[in-house]
Amino acid sequence: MTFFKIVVTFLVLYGTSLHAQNDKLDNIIEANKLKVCVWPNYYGISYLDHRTQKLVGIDSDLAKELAKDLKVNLEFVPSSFATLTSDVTNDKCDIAMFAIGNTKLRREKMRFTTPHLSSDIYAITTKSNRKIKNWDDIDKKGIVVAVAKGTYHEPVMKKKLQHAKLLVVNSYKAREQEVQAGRADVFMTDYPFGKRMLATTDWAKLILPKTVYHMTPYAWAMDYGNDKFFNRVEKFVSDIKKDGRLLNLARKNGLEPIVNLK
Amino acid sequence: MKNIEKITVSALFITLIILGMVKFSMDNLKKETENGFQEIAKLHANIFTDQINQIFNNINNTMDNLTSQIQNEIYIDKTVKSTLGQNPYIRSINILNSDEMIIFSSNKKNLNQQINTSNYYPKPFFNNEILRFGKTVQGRDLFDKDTDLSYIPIMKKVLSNSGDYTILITINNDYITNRYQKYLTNYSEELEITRFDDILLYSSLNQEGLGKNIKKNAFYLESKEKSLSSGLDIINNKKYIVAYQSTNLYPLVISVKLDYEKNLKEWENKTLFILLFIGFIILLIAFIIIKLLLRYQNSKNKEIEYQEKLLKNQEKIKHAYIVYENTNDGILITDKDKNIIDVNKAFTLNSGYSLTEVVGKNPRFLQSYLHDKDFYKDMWSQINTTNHWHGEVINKTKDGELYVELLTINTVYDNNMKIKNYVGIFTNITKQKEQEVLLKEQERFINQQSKMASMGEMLENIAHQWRQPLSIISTAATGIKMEKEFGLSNEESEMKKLTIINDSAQHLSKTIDDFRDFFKPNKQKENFFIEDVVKQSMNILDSKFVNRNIQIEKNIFDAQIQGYKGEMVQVFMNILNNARDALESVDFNDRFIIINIYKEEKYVIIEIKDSAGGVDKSIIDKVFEPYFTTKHKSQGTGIGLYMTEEIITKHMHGKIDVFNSTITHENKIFQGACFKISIPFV
Repeated sequence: MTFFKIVVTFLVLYGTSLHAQNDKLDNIIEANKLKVCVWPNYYGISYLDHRTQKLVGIDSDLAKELAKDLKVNLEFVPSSFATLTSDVTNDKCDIAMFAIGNTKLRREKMRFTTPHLSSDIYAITTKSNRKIKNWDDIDKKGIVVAVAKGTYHEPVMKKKLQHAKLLVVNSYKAREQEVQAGRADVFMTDYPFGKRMLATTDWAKLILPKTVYHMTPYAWAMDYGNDKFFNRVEKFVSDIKKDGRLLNLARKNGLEPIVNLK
Repeated sequence: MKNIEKITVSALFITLIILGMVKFSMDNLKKETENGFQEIAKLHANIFTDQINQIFNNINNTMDNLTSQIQNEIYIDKTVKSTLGQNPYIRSINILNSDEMIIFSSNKKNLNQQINTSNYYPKPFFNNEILRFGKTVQGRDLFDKDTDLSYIPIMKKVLSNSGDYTILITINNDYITNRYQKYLTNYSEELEITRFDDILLYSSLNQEGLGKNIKKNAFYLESKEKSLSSGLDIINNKKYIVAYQSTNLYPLVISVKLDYEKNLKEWENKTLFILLFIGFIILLIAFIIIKLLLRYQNSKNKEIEYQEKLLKNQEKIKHAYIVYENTNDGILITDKDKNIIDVNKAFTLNSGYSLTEVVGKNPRFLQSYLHDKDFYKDMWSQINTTNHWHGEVINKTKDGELYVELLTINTVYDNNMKIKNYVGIFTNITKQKEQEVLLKEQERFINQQSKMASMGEMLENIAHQWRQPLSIISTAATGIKMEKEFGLSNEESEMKKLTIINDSAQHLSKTIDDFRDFFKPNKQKENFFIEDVVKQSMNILDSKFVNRNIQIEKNIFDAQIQGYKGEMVQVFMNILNNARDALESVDFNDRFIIINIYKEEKYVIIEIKDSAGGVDKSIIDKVFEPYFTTKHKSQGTGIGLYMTEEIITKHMHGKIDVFNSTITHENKIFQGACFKISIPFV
């Protein structure tokens, strides 16, 4: 019996070991489920419309395409920039698909696919704000600049701002609430979010940088290893760039100006 | 005319521009008004959306608050009562257990009701704790389904320490209607709340459609994408100004519909007044333009008339000048002082004087001095009284030759009736006068010729008349001589023969008397009987007619006429000789001449008809022309009938005519000529 137990234990452990060595792609196919992390508040990228409870955006659409290409079911997993790294590395999801800025800090912990979008940094203020009329007015003494915690805007603005005060807020809504309430003068965002703000609010005013301020490539992130899965996703990225799906979905979501087809 | 056309076209163009501008302005105003109402609709939609958002935010918060109190019934009851008191739009607050049965309700009647929330919208994607909207339900509350009232059920799943619950709140539909009644009435407005899956939750008007699918339109669909959409829309054949706005957090579209016709009616009434005013102004302008045009037309017509008149006058002047320069009549124009100011070519041609030679002179230099002073005195007297003189004047040419002119002098007055000119127009009748003299000479010659011809005829007649008596005398004298020579004479025989000789001599003497009377020149007109004339004529001609077996029938009404008896005899002789010659030329024995003399009104009518067949029609009109004859030269001169007509018409003041007629003799009808003479009674 003891021997039998030993054998069983070995087989289980061996099996587990074998299983551990399986690439994520195999697991996905085997489980028939692709788990994709999305930040459900990312306008244009992966936005959960509270009114319809439907995800809309280029990356949520592309996630559907990826699952279709892999011929597996799709499961969206709610995530955020604050929890992104842990969500990806702790296998909460197979891949994070919500236009993640490919920054050095993130690259240290996560593996990035070839970028499919790229965006500069833009500022949103209120129409009634008398201090900020153009980009140069932002980095002035007395100005409060809000950024969301975990976004790449946080390190960039920390580095760039000399005179203005940086306010890092936790929740996704906090940035605009800070500005709307007058606790901050401006919040930093990217093209998709900025565009959406203008479309959905009466008060938002877009401030554009005079020259390229900090162009960041947007891509999807996954855990290191899993080359097979990575390569398959890379192939998918290559495919959607070639077969027009990327461009069409960018067009559908109003992101054609920032699409990266190379 | 072209100017009037231009003005008319311009006026029309300006009117059209004004109308176009008015139309453009009115359209713009209407558009602005529409836009204004569209803004109102948008504003209302915005307000309603904010307030509806606020209501559901409150409900959401209320639900969150209740979550922590679910286990404490006393506390929750208090909170619910307080919430109901503060929020009149809530009809009831209910708590359902995990089996969806009502375990707590502000309305006890709702308790233990089983509620199916599977169709509540939206279905949660990540998080179950969201506000979800059920379809509008007919009834006062969850327990009731029979009243006219309706409510909107709203739920939220909540997770408390004691388990999963559902909080369900029913919303009072009528609250919204009452809350916004003022807007709805003032703007004839319809307010609707639609769930994102197109289910109508609330309508201020359409109660039947509650809980059912709406008809989607472009504005509605756009509002779900872009938050707000507005414009003009036709719904069920009715025009609306619509505004649709979706709420940010809840799956609701608020729609505001303004009745287009009702809202724009007031504006249209004002517009009508403006249009009427503008119409009046345009009519006034049109009236003024027409008035001005008519005035312009009148003045233009007058000007045209004047120009035409001027042109005609110029034409007339031109024609007058042509006549003036080219007429054969001499024309002389003087001023009021009778000094020559102009003469025409014919004047120069007739008088020999050129214009430069006569200008400024009194025309008296043309006088021939053949007229005495009284002639000119009378002439000017007549001109001064009648402004006109007409008569013959003998003047002298530059070469000193006399010429006769038929002169007309007229006085010309100016507009003030003062003498301006005298115009003399004359025709040179010198040649005409010479012709008249020639004609008179010719007439005299013809008369002479006629007399000579008559004389020859008379001599023939005398010879004829005398032949028989002379033969008798000769025979008687020869008989006496023979009887004396042969001794056969006796006194009785001699006396008998001498008586015969004497009778014959007497006859010759009488014959001479007859001829003498004929040739005796008539100095004075006399009264004589027509029968005497016939007898005298017949005495002269009798022998010729007897010899030629011509029978003369006379039906004479004797009447006295005035004239020259010899000339009348000559008339009878001419016509009778003519008849005799005609009868001689015919080849039958029925030779008749009928002389009818009768009275007809104031005239004595003499008809002399013959049976010679008549005058050929081709020459009947020429028989009274001088030198016209059908006879041989040896027989006729062609002046007999000419002289006859001259005597009758000019000396006897009568008429003579010739035509063909018929005469009846012994029941036989004969064709012949008829000379008909009409002479007035004495």
